[in-house]
Amino acid sequence: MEKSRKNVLEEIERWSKEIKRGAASLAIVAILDEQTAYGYEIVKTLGERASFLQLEQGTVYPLLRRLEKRKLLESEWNYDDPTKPKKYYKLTADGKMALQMMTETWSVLSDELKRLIEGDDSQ
Amino acid sequence: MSGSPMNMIEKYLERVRVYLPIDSEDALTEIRTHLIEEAETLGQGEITHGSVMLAIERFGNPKEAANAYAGIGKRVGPLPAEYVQPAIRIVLLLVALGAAFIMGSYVVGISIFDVVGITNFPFNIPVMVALSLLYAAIIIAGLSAIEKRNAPPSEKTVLESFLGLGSDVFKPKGRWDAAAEVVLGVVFAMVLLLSPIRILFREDFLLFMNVIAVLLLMDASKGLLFFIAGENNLNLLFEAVLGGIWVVLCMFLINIQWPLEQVYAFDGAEWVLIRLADFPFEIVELFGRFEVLALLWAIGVFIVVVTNMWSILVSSMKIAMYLKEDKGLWWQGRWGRGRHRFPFLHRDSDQNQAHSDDGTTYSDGHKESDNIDET
Repeated sequence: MEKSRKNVLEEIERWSKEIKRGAASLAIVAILDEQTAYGYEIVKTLGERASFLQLEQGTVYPLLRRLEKRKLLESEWNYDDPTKPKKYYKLTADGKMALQMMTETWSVLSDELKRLIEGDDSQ
Repeated sequence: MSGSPMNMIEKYLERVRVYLPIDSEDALTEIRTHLIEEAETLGQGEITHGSVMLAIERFGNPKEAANAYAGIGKRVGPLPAEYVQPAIRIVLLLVALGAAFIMGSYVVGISIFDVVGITNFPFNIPVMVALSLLYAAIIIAGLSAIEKRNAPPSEKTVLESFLGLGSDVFKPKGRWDAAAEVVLGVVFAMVLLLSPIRILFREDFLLFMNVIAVLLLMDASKGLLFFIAGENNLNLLFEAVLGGIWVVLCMFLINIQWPLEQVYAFDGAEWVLIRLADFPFEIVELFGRFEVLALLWAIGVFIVVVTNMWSILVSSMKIAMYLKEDKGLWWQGRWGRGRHRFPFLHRDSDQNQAHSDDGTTYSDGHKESDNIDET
């Protein structure tokens, strides 16, 4: 019984990680749609407004880097405080388009899954 | 010992740097800012050892943090994937070091084709370095495997110290290093143009002295550009071209004899000029009838060629790296952080910590065990 529970918990953990991985990109793009922000601000905002993601701090920066490489974000360094140079990220036109499409996909996915879980097959 | 809170951050970043590709200065700067801000938040506006330690632990294991940035990559032969980046860096540096030494040897007249095997100086130097590193890798990796003790997040493991070899090479030039280039370039150029100095050298060397003075002034200009704009492709290109000109000049310099003809000596009443040729017989004998001076001249030329070749190769690698990032020719670049060339001058940061058998206690009450498991 204990072993079975452990297996389930491990499976939930894996599944949860996969869900969060996709959701994290959407959350970051959504935050940057509101305003430009630098890494630490994004980490803090994610912690406050998307705590369900429970992202390790070190995982946000590689995600930002990947989104930038894929041209969804662009960045600019700010050296106002030379002891703490800040890399500000903002959404590109592609990023805005991606956000719109990601939001639609998420919405459809969420609705359909909800209906599926609740057993509503009227559609 | 980890030193000041900022030093703990730097040491953690050094551990992350070990596993990152060479073009990762931006990533490291971003992580540094994050750790400082997180430590300030945790320390309620103040950076303490405890808040830095917590910030570092929250950021995660350095190897995993670096691999998340760089991507784990593919396993290469028997090499585990996470060690591919450090291995690539070490190989690149060895190749550059070898190329610089071979060029230096070529300029001073030792052809690679004259060398049977690799026993002749100076070709054996890069080979000896490579072999020593290989032996060191085997020994250190073996020791690390035996050694079960993990380092605290802010301290490199023995293996990481080895894998991190050469990572400093790709750091941008420090602003004060650039300032030193300006000052030294101008001072040495001026010294070479002074009449009391010029009369010490052979007449046929004076033209070269003028060229050297001009190159020193160009070095100073290059330093000024780095001081003003940090590292960017134009400055790196300037550095590479200037390095090339020095190498070409050395090809001429190696063909002339030891140029110093006279030296100043104090005869008890005043400074007088003495010709090296007029030195007492025993001294000339001691110098092996100027053969030693000729050897010194060749070694000097060799060193100038090797250092400039090194500069050309590293600058070229950096330019390629920046071009890959779609950066153009000119931008306001960054400066490297000051290097502590004289560590004994920087001990004051350690004064707020005390060490005991079970770890290190800092002035803010934070206690760091010497045997913290990696998170």
